[in-house]
Amino acid sequence: MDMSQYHDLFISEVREHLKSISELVLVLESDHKDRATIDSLFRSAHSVKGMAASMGFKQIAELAHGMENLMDRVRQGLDVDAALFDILLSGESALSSMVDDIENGTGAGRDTADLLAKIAAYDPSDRTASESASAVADARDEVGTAGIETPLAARGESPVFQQTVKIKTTVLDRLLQTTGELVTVKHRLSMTSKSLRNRDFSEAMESLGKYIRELHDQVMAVRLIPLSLITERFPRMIRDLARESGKEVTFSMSGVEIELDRSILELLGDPLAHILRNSLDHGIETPSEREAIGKVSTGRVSISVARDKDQVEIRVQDDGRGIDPDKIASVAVAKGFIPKEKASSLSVEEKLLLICHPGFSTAEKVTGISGRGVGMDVVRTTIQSLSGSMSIESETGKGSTFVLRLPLTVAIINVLLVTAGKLTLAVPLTAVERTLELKSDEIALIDDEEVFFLDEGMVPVVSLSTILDIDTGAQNKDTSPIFIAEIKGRKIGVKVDRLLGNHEVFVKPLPRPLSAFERLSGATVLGDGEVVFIVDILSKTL
Amino acid sequence: MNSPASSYMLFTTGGLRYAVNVDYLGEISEMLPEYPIPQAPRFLRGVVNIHGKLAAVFDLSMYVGTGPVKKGCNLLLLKMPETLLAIVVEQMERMISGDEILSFEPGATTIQLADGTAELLDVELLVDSMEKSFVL
Repeated sequence: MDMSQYHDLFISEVREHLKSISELVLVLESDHKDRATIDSLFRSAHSVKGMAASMGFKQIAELAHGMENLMDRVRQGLDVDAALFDILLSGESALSSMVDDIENGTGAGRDTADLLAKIAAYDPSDRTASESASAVADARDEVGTAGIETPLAARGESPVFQQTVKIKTTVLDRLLQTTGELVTVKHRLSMTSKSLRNRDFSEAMESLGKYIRELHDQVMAVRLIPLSLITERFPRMIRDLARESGKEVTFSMSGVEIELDRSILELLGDPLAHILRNSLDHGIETPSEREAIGKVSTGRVSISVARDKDQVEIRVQDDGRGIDPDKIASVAVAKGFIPKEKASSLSVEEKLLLICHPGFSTAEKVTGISGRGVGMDVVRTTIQSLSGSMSIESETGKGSTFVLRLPLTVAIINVLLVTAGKLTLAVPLTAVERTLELKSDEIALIDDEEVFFLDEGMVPVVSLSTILDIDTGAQNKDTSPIFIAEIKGRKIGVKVDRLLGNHEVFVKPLPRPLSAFERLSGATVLGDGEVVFIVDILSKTL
Repeated sequence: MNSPASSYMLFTTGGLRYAVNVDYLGEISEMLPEYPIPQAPRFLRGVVNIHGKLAAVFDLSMYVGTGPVKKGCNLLLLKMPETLLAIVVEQMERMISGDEILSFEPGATTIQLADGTAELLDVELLVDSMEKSFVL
């Protein structure tokens, strides 16, 4: 029977079970006698074995069978200790690798003999080697004969209708793209409707707009994926990192059921993992260091997620040694990133954000955990490429919090339309704090730089035309339209020729060679067909 | 990849004749409304919307310095993965097969045909060098 049609289903279902195994082991680690968890672990291993055997992946079935047998022995009363968790997690890792191999078409050939031997030999009361070897042989013999489940479809039986279906991500992307084009066409029709002044047409347009909005909301809802999809690997990662570095850590997550667009989630996993690794490596102290300064020996690391309108805030917090802003500033000066005189004028937040400068690292030694001084710059750039922002809060001796703010979706966004010279440009509203019109006498010249005063603070003014090298001709206006953006923790007033207002737009990615322009993050087509570039105001130092 | 076995489209712009590998050809379009690109060099005249896809309008004659193009041009759309480029062409000539090329030296930028020569366009190299020229 041709089983190739079931490959995708097999891969996704086995991954679900492996994810469960990984989570359940961590639960069992905190409560060795949890009968429900022991049973669930047994069932997950059993299911993987059954599915693999029916698909002909003997090596996966063999390893899963070993794990199933081990959990069965635990169910029968075998004592549990730390070695069991390592064995189960190693088994899960090996199975994941083999599933990856199948997905990549590289076969499922991995050497699992040592692992199978460890599984068979596991016995806290120290069983003999000969018994262990015999157990391995038993495990191999049993694979493919006893207790193997065959999927319904493979047995030719009718599956029970489910309320969910699996959809290829390319179909989801195409749905979003088509919906985005509909938004553009709707804007075009709206403009025509205004010039026609026809009541029936206007009413039809209103209905069309309503249905497109509904369609858009539904398409976006389909694309939303819970953050837990990328955070589920973190408890295991933290556990392993803590072990490697001899630290004690409790890790907690909250709000990870909040959903984001899959295009954002795809890019968010690595930055979050990097921040967590940094917290473990640089933040959390060793148990003896913590006790010496009156802290409990076990450190705390957490991820908390909260939704605020169309944004998501992710806070990665630790109760470690914190980051010393002055030390960061001195390192930045020593490395030549900023002049000494500028360092003293920076706010605490600005100093902390210097760790995101490319090549920055205050680690006294390079560790295998958090890398070699690369990373935080990539983290920040990735967050900004998603139209998000990052800030750092820290108190020396008490801990640090990395705060990431991200939009729920990036494909259809709200922008502020502005003009600079002959160009109309779009600025994502997430980058705009507020807009205002300044009279010419409200802008002062200090050290050859234009500034104005806002909320008792001095805000530098830059011109969008200057940033983008746009010729605006002679300018001598009584008022200057300005939007305020927060860049690297500092408020900046960006002067434009005109503020045209807010607009919902569908972001089109830029093909090469346009994608090489660092200040342009995309483009959109307005109702009259005009192509407008979306300016990435946060990406570069102004 | 340009090779003697490939077919090429011949076109002229800025008074020079060029040959481009047909593997890169998208479509030929009449001129479309162009919208300016901030920070772009003069040889990137603007961006056009072709069936919902955006393409940079590339003035090859300005890029190589052979002078401005005449009126009544067309756009020749070139496609590569993640790349879309609309070249302003004065005249589309004809398609030629590899066996019409009298001499094809590896690495050479000019090919010899029975009725003259044509500059061989290496689209990948062109886009690479273009990008390097405007990374600010």
